[in-house]
Amino acid sequence: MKKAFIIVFMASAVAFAGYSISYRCATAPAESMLTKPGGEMEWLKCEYHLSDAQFARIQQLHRDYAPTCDLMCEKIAKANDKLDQLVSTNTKVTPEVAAAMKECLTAQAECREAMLGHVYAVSAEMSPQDGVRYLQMM
Amino acid sequence: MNDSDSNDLSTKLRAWTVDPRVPTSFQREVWQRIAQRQAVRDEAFWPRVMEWFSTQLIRPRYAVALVALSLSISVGAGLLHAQDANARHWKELETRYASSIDPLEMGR
Repeated sequence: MKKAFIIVFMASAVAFAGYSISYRCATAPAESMLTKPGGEMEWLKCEYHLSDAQFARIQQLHRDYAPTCDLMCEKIAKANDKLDQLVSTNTKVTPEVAAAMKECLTAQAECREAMLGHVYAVSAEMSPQDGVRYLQMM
Repeated sequence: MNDSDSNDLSTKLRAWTVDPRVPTSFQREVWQRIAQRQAVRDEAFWPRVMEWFSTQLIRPRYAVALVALSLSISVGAGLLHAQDANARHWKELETRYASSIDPLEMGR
């Protein structure tokens, strides 16, 4: 009876180890991407089957786009702040409020245009099928 | 055997009647006995299973089979569970990528 219990215990231990190891091995790549800074770029490489050359070009596009993106972000934030201030200090839609709203919309449109340009440029670097999938995702 | 003997026997056989007397508690006792035996059998079931288990399991091929079965089931369960976790992580990375190139998201 004792031997049988030892065997059952061993089987349970093996089962526990098997579960833990298989789970860790299978989730390790995604976990590492999540914890690493810039893991989203690695994700892009995996998800869209990018070769090293394609990935290098897309990374370059990403680096070139980053300052534009930051600038747009700043512009949108400024326009939003200005509009918020004007909205809270006014009791009706003054020409200044209307201008601030237009400024917000313009900043957003510029931002969308820049982003769309970047998205098209990135998709052009991918294989046709993956490019279409990337555009659908974005 | 002569004729008179044969006639006697025939007469006796004709006169013989069977009058079985079943005790009134017969049926109840039968059911009691059935229940007792069932109880004894039930009580012996688990010890018998355990005994069978312990005698069979110490055989190397059964022990190896049990360990192999546990391992395959646990690895399968681990991989299945990992699929769900990976799908969640993948979605999170997708959102992170989309946010990284979207100034509207970054401005929020």
